[in-house]
Amino acid sequence: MEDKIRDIIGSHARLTVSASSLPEDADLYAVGMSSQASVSIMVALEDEFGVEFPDRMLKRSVFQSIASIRSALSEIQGKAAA
Amino acid sequence: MTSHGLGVVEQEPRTVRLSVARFSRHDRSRWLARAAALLNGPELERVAAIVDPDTRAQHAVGRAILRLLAAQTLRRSPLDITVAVTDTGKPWLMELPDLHVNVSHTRGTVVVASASVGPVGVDIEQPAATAVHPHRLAHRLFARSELQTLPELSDDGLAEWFSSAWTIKEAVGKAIGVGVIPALSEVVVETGDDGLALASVGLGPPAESWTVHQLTAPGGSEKIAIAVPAPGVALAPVSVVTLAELERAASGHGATARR
Repeated sequence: MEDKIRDIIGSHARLTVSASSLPEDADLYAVGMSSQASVSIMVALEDEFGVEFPDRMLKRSVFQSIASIRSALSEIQGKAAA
Repeated sequence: MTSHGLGVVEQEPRTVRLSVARFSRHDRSRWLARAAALLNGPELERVAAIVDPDTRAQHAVGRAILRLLAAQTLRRSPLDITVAVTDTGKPWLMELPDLHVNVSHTRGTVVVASASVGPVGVDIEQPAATAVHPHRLAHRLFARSELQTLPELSDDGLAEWFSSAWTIKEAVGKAIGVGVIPALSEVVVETGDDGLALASVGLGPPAESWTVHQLTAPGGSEKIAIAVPAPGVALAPVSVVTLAELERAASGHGATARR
């Protein structure tokens, strides 16, 4: 899952650093992610993982780091499997 | 219409003002250095934590402009101004709380909106900056009424429409104090005689209560929208902030009033 998240961040966030080498808790906004890029990533993640982020997760903190994105996706997939 | 420098001291009560700073990678470090000279310790720590050099310079310049705005109005040093942040992340000027301010930035351009008539939101975006097709994003987040416009647009027209719609939605959302994703869904635009206009605002005052100004960045192609929850608010001539102005302020001569 994390590799796919990094791939999507790399192709959508237009960062000046490589997404593959980012620490999982790095603040993506601090490495140059814009609000428009964060929404682009959200939609790309939904397409990649076949999920939809619920309204309560549509906030800045969920898309702030690789770790927070992975946590949110794991929660969504866990609920879908339950 | 644009003017050079922040010179206007007293802001008319029924106007919104936009200050714009532009820099390239070539002079980015000079802008950062001049802006940083106007910031305090916590602000410098925040700036230092920003890894991306563009974002770091943009953040610092935005803070510096906020300080200059208040300093010139109050006729005191920009170093004596306190920029605080609300729970929703909006900056406010502790020494000038009735002047509402908002900041947005994109690669090499920083915009600061200010208004005394009410909370102000501003957004600037690169044209067609999203990697996901605008159609996909719009279908995920925009209102059904907005989607009816899309089939009529060419690819270029769609990118233009999307950038304009986005900036309006985010500017209104920032004025209200909500995040970008709720704003994209709850702020609805429609095509009017003069381009895009607000159709409805689900999270705040009704559409007819708002003034929205849309413009292209001076000297650039970025889309800018400024939103204020009050009708009939004029846009003052755009102030272009110069590096020389930051240099003067940093050397202790910046809090002057020039028109």
